[in-house]
Amino acid sequence: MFNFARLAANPGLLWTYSLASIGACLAVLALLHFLPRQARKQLLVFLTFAAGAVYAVDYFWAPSPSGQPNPLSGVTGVIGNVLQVVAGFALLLGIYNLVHIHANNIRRTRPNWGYSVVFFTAFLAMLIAAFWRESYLWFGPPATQLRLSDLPPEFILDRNTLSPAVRTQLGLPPTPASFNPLYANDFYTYLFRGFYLNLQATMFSILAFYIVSAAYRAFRVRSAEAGLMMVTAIILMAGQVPLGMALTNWIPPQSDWSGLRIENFSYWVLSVINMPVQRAVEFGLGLGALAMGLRIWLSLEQGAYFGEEV
Amino acid sequence: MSAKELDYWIPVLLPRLLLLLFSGIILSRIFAARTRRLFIRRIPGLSAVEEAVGRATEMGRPITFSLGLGGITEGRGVIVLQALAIAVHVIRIAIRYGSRVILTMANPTLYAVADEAVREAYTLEGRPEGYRVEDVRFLSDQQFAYASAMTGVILRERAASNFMFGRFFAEALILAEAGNQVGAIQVAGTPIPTQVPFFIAACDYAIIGDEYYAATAYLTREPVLLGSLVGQDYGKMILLGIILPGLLFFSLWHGVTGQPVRTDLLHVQNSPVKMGARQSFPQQVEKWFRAGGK
Repeated sequence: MFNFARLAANPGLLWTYSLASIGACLAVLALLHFLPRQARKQLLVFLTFAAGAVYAVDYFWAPSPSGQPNPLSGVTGVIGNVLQVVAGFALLLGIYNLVHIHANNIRRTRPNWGYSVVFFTAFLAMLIAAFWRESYLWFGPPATQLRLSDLPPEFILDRNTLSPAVRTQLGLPPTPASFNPLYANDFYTYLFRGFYLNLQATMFSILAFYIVSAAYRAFRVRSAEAGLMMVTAIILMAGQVPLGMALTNWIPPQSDWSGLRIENFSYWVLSVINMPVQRAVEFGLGLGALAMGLRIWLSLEQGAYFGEEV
Repeated sequence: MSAKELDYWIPVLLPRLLLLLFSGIILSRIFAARTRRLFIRRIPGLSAVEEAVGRATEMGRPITFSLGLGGITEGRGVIVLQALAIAVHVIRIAIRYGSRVILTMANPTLYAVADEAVREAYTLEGRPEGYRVEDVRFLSDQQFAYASAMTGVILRERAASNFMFGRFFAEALILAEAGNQVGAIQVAGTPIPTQVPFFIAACDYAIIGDEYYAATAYLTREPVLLGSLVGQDYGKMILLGIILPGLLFFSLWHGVTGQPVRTDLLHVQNSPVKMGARQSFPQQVEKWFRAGGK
């Protein structure tokens, strides 16, 4: 239905499609603005139903045994791309929200306004490092006419990260064999791998301590069920670590009693007892998600913000 | 129809027929509920919502509400839409009590919808001037950046109540422990099964499994939502009616004949029968018993 190769080869057609899409969106928005309240609600119900119907029909229209997709499969792909573009624009909205809140904190010198200064410093540093690093690709000459002077400074773009073909074209020697692109010597890598990834790992590592504190606080053996849960938790934890496995290491692994080895027993508890329960919960969740999806698709959702007048 | 065609069409048609069946049941119960008053059992976590809001009002401290990761445009958008519906309900109660709610999220698309929903909530409660831009915050779309930012919000604002509804992963416990550090009463709910144990351990109230999708029905008592819950229950009973005979058939067939059941028709990839690599504990006991205890 949508031949992207034909669109790419015909700029005039591409512009026509793009402008027509924008015009259609603006027409819908204008309709929503000028229509009376009841008609506006009916238009929204119709648009919601039509949008959901595309996906529903695409799913129920089963592919043929020869693998031929149905005509709607191209449409759902296009809609997915449109959603990606909308999400990209929404990112700007999110950035606006962040900047607005932190700028207000600084302007009004609210408590802890120093953290907002840190936010702006980090935000701008990463923004400049990332965009400056790639600037030669967007604003520079075509790849075949690239010169060394077109590239950003060495501390912004490590020349060793360039492809061998580009390095040859620029007259640079081949990349040293010991070079690891993960540890490039430029500002962006310092910020991303030096700061961000390590901070991420730090936050993740806090979990180990939090698990211990939460378990110490929560696990009180006050009943038979709590006791059973505690014993099972200990067995499962012991089955994951070498120290626990060493407790039952004396049982021969190929013997009839190998099932009592702690790692095998914990695997059995997880796969035979725990897994069916998790699947049962997931069945319920699946039905719940189906029900909510149906309610939203058919505009039957009531309460909170769904049922109010538009 | 040849065996080869059956092999193709059964796994293609069966899920679609089941989906139609369950959808029909849910919709029929939704329409039937408009004329009947339906019962829903008490869910402690959701009953505690007003208690949590009241506590925040008494202490003069704000409420924090986290919508978790994920957005509307993703495949599991219903999770975050449900979380937003619960959030708006909590915000409306808080507005009536005169409490402040700080709503945070990790998706910019969701921010656009949430901001509008919160403004609408203030307008509907007759307090449009009470809306503050700083109370709806997009923190970050990165998991641990969101966790650290949300932790900072909870600790600096010294939240009296902390709600967490939506999609959570490893950051769930980080957020819950931050709430514990400031002594907040915590209510959490997520349909992600791996995070429920952390919420149970760290929060005062946890919404488990199905209760997450029943939350709006429970809080609003709308007939349509309650009818939908009945439809889900009927669907679960039908699933049970399919699973139990299948379970008996699989067990008896393998136990009596010793032959694996053909599962490729249903595209069962990881059937323990097919895997068959390791003898399970019951198999070992059975083998020992048959060998006369040797």
